[in-house]
Amino acid sequence: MIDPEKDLIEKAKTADQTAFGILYDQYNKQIYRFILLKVSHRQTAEDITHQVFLSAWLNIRGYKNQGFPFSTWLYRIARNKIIDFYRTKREIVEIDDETNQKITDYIAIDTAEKANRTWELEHIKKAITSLKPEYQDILIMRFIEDMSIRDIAKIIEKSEGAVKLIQHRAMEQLKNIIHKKG
Amino acid sequence: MNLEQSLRQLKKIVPDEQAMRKSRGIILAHDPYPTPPSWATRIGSLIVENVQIATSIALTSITILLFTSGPSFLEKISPLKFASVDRSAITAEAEAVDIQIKLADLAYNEPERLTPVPALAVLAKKITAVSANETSTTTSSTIPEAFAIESPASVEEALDTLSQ
Repeated sequence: MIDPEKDLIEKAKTADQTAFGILYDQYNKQIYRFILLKVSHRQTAEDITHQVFLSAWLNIRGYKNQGFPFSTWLYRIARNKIIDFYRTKREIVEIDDETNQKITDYIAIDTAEKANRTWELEHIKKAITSLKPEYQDILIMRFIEDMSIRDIAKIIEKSEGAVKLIQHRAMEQLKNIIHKKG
Repeated sequence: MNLEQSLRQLKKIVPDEQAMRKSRGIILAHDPYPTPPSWATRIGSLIVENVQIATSIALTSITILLFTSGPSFLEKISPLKFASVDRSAITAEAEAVDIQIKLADLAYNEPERLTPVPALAVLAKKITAVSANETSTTTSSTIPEAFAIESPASVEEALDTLSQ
């Protein structure tokens, strides 16, 4: 963990709004992306992101530095919130899935590359959504957010070896889905 | 298509700036550590709570006593002594009331109470008298002789006579 982040966390623990605000600005985009790719709905992703950071702010005193980035804690909260969401709002999600949002609803793509890129990204996003939740988590964190195996292992509470194995399987399954559909 | 590169393209996903700004404001408006109430406030609330509990216990006790002990308990504990509920006064008043029974009426009613049969005998006599009169005046109508009975001594005799 970088020292400035440690300082910010310590300040946030004393209810320093500015310090937590900086942490929010630093991590809200990646947490939002993680959630959006799992729930496939912009408003829902915004709501869950809000809940994640609110929960983090209200429980910041209980945060213990274990040598991992602050984001690992946020990802763990996010995973739990997503599980809660699917557990309690299953019916609503099924309805939302029918009104599937396009990838262009939440990605700014240059006009020149729009046609090809839109199709490709839409294809990948759908393929990710069809994977097991654990595979989704690892692919998003590893290949979209460039997180280390060690940090991912901490978040999903598995060994680093298990994470590598799951990552391999997830990639293979994703390739198969894309080739089948492509 | 390089899959890893394509996946990295998804990093372009960004949240709506306005929504995130609003969310940030709402989150930071929350107080993570609500200030605990002062000692004075705590003591005040403690007293209020205790008064409420004491009041409810007292009211419950009174209600139970009222139901179990009834008016005698009320009479004992009541600071007010009403004339209407003064037992000695009520007794004296009751004694003073003139409740002499008319013995004459009693004497008159007693024989009839003891021997109800004569009433039937009187009825039978009346019927006999009426039938005798009607027989003498109207020849077409015949009254059985059974009605012309001597005054029976008891109900059984009267009924026997009637059945005959």
